Amino acid sequence: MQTENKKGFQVKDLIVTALLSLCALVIYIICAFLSFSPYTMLVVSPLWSLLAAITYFLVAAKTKKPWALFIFCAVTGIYGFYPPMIICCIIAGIISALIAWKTGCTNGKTLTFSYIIYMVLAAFSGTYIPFLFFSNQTLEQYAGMFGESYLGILQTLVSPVTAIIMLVVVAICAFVGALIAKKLLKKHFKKAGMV
Amino acid sequence: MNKLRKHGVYYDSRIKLLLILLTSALAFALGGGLTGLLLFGVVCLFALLSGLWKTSIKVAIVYIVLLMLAQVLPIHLSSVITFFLLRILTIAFALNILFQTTEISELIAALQASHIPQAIVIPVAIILRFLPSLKQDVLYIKQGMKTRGVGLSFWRIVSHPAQTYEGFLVPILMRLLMTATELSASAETRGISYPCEKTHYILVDFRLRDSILLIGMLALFAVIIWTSFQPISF
Repeated sequence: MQTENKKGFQVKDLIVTALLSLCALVIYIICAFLSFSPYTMLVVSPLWSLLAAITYFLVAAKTKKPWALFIFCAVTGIYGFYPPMIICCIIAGIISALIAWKTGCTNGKTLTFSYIIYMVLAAFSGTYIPFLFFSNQTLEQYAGMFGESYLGILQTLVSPVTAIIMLVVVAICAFVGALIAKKLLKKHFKKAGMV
Repeated sequence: MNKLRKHGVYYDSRIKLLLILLTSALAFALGGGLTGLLLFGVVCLFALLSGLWKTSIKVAIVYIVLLMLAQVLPIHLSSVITFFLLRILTIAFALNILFQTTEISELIAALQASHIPQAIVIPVAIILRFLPSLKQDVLYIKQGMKTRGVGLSFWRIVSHPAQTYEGFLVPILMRLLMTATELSASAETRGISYPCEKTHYILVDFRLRDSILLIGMLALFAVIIWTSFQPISF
């Protein structure tokens, strides 16, 4: 049976959420270094969804508060400083909070589902929206930053079909990340009595 | 902060926070080249105003060296420098101004004086306070891993990715959760949850000097944005 924390707003939960958001952002920054080539750039979002799952699951396990999941998603979105990403991450945060409120913060299956939604929305808004809806401006900017050869490869790679395939890959990676996160939670954090 | 008052110009911490926000937003939203250089110049100017002479010189040297390397290295390596390293260096420099010249209690007082909700003030303060500690923790964990013969190296990451991920990330998260417990205990002891109006040791006041600096900073950022739309090659 779920052991939900029924207490309301607690500073400790806010601090845990803030620190784990910071950890997720650091993981994203490390993954983002792979943007050095068009091929590796496509790997950034799937890799982030694979590696950062533990931070999302720890927020839920440690705080047991739906609003903590909303803050986690919103903070990681706000850091992107890109309006579509902020909006999508806030929407993902609302969905995650609603799912957690309805089914509980300790339900592994629904947490996995909300994490996949969050990662797909974050990847869609952060990586693929610029190419799908503002393709000319984005490609011009990339040409200025990386040169014509980079742009040439990018133009052949980026298309609506590629974007859909990559979103499916992100969802699969998020699912695998969630499985790994649940195993790590059980192996290390539950045994140590930290969650 | 005392150092700042002795050697540099004292200005409101909200201006420093806005500098970080604008720098982070513009560093990745605008193109590199001249725009990136101008952005770095603005951050450098505020660092000098804050009295961070030595840090400014060191960071400027690193920036110039990276910029020169980007000109001679192959496109894939130079793109990492121009797209990430130079931009992250600029953002880290802006963050450094806040870390070196502002106490977190001063920042909290300034944000609370601006009527920003507690749910935003606490995460912002925690993230800014914990960033330097995270760096220190990473160093300790790397040393610990090296002692156990599983040191972090490129070859190790490629050959044993799962083991490296688990061995590196789990101790960081453990340390992070312990820090959260300690920080929240400290905050609770100081009565952060007590439902009353909070008072502060440091009185924050947005003065005329701050207003002038804010207008100057916004004008400089407006120039950078205008420059990014001009067909100037660099």
